Amino acid sequence: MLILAGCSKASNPAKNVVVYVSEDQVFSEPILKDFEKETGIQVKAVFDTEEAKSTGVMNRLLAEKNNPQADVYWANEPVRADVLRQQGISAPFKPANAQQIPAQFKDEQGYWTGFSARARVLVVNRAAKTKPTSVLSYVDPEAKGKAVIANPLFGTTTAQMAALFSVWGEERGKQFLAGLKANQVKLSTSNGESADFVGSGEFEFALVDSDDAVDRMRRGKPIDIVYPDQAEGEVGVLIIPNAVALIRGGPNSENGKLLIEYLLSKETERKLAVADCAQIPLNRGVEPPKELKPIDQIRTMKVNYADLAAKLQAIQPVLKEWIGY
Amino acid sequence: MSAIEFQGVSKRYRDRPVLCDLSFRIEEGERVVVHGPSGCGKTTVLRLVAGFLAPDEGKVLVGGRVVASEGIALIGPEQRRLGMVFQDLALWPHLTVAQNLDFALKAQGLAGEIRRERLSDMLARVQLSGSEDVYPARLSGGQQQRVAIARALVAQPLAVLMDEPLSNLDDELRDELCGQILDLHAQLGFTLVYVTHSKEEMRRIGVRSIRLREGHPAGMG
Amino acid sequence: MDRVLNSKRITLWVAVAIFVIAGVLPLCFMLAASLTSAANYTATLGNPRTWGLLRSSLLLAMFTTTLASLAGVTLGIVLAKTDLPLRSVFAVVLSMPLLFPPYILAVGWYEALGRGGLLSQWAGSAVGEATSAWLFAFPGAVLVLTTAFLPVVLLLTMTYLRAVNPALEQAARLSSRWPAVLGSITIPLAAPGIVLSLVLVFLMTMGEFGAPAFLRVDVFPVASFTQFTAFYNFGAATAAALPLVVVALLGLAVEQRVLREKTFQFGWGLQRDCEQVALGSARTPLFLLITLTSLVLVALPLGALVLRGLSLAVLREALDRAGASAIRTLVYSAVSATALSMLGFFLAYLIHRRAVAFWRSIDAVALFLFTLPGSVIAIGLIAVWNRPSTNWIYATPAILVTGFIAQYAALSTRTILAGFAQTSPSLEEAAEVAGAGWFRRVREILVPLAMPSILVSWAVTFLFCAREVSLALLLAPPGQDTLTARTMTLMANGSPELVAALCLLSMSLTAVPLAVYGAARTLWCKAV
Repeated sequence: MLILAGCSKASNPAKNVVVYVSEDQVFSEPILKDFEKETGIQVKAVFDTEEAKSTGVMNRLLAEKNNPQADVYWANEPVRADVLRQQGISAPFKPANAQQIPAQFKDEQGYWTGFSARARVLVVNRAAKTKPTSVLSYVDPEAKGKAVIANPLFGTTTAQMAALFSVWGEERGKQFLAGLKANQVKLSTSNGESADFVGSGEFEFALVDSDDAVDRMRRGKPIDIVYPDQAEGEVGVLIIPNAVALIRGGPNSENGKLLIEYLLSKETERKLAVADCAQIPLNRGVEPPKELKPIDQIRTMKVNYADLAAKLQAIQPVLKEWIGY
Repeated sequence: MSAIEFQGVSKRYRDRPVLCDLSFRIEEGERVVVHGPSGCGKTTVLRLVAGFLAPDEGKVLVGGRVVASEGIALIGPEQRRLGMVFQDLALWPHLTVAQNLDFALKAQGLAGEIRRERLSDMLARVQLSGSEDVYPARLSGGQQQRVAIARALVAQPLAVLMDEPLSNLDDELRDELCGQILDLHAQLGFTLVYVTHSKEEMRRIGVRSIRLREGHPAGMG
Repeated sequence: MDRVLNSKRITLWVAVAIFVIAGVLPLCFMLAASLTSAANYTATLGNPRTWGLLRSSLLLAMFTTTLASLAGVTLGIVLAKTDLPLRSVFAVVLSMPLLFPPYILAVGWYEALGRGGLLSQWAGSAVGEATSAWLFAFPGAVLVLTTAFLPVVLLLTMTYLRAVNPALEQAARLSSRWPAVLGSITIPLAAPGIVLSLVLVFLMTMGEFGAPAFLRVDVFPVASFTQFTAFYNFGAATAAALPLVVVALLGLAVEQRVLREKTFQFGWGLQRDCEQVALGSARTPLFLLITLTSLVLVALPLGALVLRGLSLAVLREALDRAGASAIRTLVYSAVSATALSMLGFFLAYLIHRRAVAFWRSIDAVALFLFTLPGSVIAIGLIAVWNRPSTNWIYATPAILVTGFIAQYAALSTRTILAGFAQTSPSLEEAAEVAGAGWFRRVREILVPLAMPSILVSWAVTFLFCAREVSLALLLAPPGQDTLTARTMTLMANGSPELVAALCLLSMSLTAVPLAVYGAARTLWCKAV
């Protein structure tokens, strides 16, 4: 905060920063407004819809490559931030506040830094007959027709698939996909929708992001959270942090750097943990949401997010074929 | 100086010849009827004079000036100083009778006082004084015809073109309006080119006639 | 007259140039991107599933168009031609769905008919399960899209019915009763407007992705959409959207065949003094029927959507969240509607009078742009305008207005064209002979005669621009989003109550263009 105060008093002629945001607007906008209040820098934001509803911010960033309009990209998962690195759209930047983030959750060269994460968990309806404990419960014959998953071509579910392929290998990954079809797993358009379907009893369980789960719990839906694959030798839970990246050649890069520092601060993580989005802080010393375990008490999937991005590209043909495109 | 002249005018419509090498001269103040069976090209003659079409070959002259030649209209309709009564009358429904007449007067840039004077005068001549603020849709068929005629004459054009203006009327009304047109001509002395397929009208209106058959002149008289 | 450079030709060429710059240029960029690799085409077009999806969409479009036309034309007749009480109120209510992207209407129907929805709360969960299963399938998609696009048929039908010369109906009334007159005289004479509305509904259904996706009905645009969102492949996304050009041309051909060579010159009909059908004893039952229709088709989904939002606290939060986006939506939509109506007027004139040699191409390209997903147009516009030298356009709302012009030029052009088709060219010729130059003819003759259709074009394009999502998300400058786009972004984990309150706010925006339209029309009729 001192750094910020110092910088804003020192010499910042431009009073704007442009940020493209993939994190849900209901959660991100208050943080950005707080930044505005504290620094006096006006934030101009472009928000995103849930992926399956509309072509959004990523396409805009890619299309604007030759004449960037944005300074910062706030992604809700690191794979897309890495795509920007691959496309030469983001610039390396190692903010001071990144030092407190474990190395596993940030890019080595500083192209993006993770913060405030979600865990990929199972939500289970309290009246459900099945008792899932693993991602593999999706292909358990007992669960035939009772489960739903968000379309794996979009969002965090894509990352999930890439992670599973990474950890299991291609053969087992394909078997799993085939098993989903055979077990009549329904496809929804988003994790939120999956959570709603489980909450209303239309389906018994679904793999969703922890924030979707907590949100439905706080609204009184009859669901429980299960951390899948926690036993010894099992793959663990995939953690998906938000990721922030500096855009190369943006109009207000210096202000962009200030915004990035702000987003990576403990204060921001505290706010995002307490809010309805219930994000798990990656900074030690920040309390997680009460419905969720702290990050160091969860068996997490050991993945390298850059490799995950590459894996995503590699399994594209498999996913396309599975979906039918 | 002739009022209207065609020199070797030919016109095709989608490769079908409509007029073939038509030539004639109409002097100032003459009353000429263009007649012939349907489809012989009578309306095309009027549209060439008015400037809505240009001849494929030949020249059209109005008031001694070449207004169209070999496919190009050199002078547009709005600059030929003509008056026209259309077959469907084409009275502007959103303008009153006075506004319909005033439209052409305004185009000449005349002062308001003069325009009002000419307007009243013309309406009186067609026995429509008092109808200034009426919309055309509210008038009877005969009254609408008279407005159309008045509108064509009010700006003192070089020539007046009439395209079968009386074809939709009953005998009595047609007779009355024929007489009206002749009266106006006697009073004002304008050049009149009158298109009709009616022998009766031809007989009454035309001092001279140009008869067309399939685009060719089939007789002048 | 044809080859002389004069103010008329210059004006028309300027209109063409604007259309080309706004719409054709980005299209060319996207086509060029798609042609960089044959794989872009083989990826989707070589995939048999794509053609299955096309078949699905065609089926969906046919059912939706049929139902929307039956309901829309019938309602149009009742609301335009009879003495039913509260006609204007019904017209406004039944037009409301037009203000929402079909996706939001789908959500509304889900709130009404889904498991745990309104119906299930009233009639029991068994009913709710049955209706939910029915909704999340092909019939549900037909229902949602029919209610979404019915207003288009309704508004255009009403406009063109009112333009029929009463004298023509009176002539028929001398020998026949009203049903025969309506069937043989009135409706056929209103055909240009009605056929136009059917073509538009068909094309919009073909290009619609959001609502069918929500209802888990797979449709053709999903191929293009997936290329964008999952694979970021602009070239392939464009290639995947191209079969829609065939559909657009098909729509054009059908329309031309139906209306071929028919002239609809009613003399000089003005839109007032419409012949009214006295309903007599049928009035009360019909009133009840229309009320029921409005309740089911409009009040049910929209009501289900907004009932959740009815608390002062949530409304306050919605206003707070919406911020200035509501005002911006009004401004962007009003400016775009005005620009579209002006451009549409000249393009309609050009097409009607065949004033340039390639008038057919303009008509076809405009219709194709209308069918194309907004994302394709938006990415194309970014490619054209996102340069430092053109930042004065790109970094301002002007780019969004340009996008709206590209997407909706066909809408304004066709609406005004149907109006031109009802007036005689001799009215302009008479003005020419009387000495009026081009601009005077436009100002004093052509515009007044076309005014009713210009007003309809303004109101309809306003609504379309206000509810548009794809262009708004991709083109609105940072910090200057529209209300609809904001509603969509806030839907991501926004509480249903908040979303409902935002929809309520959107609904109150409908009042604006319809009020403007109503006032302008009244003033016009009084003046004339």
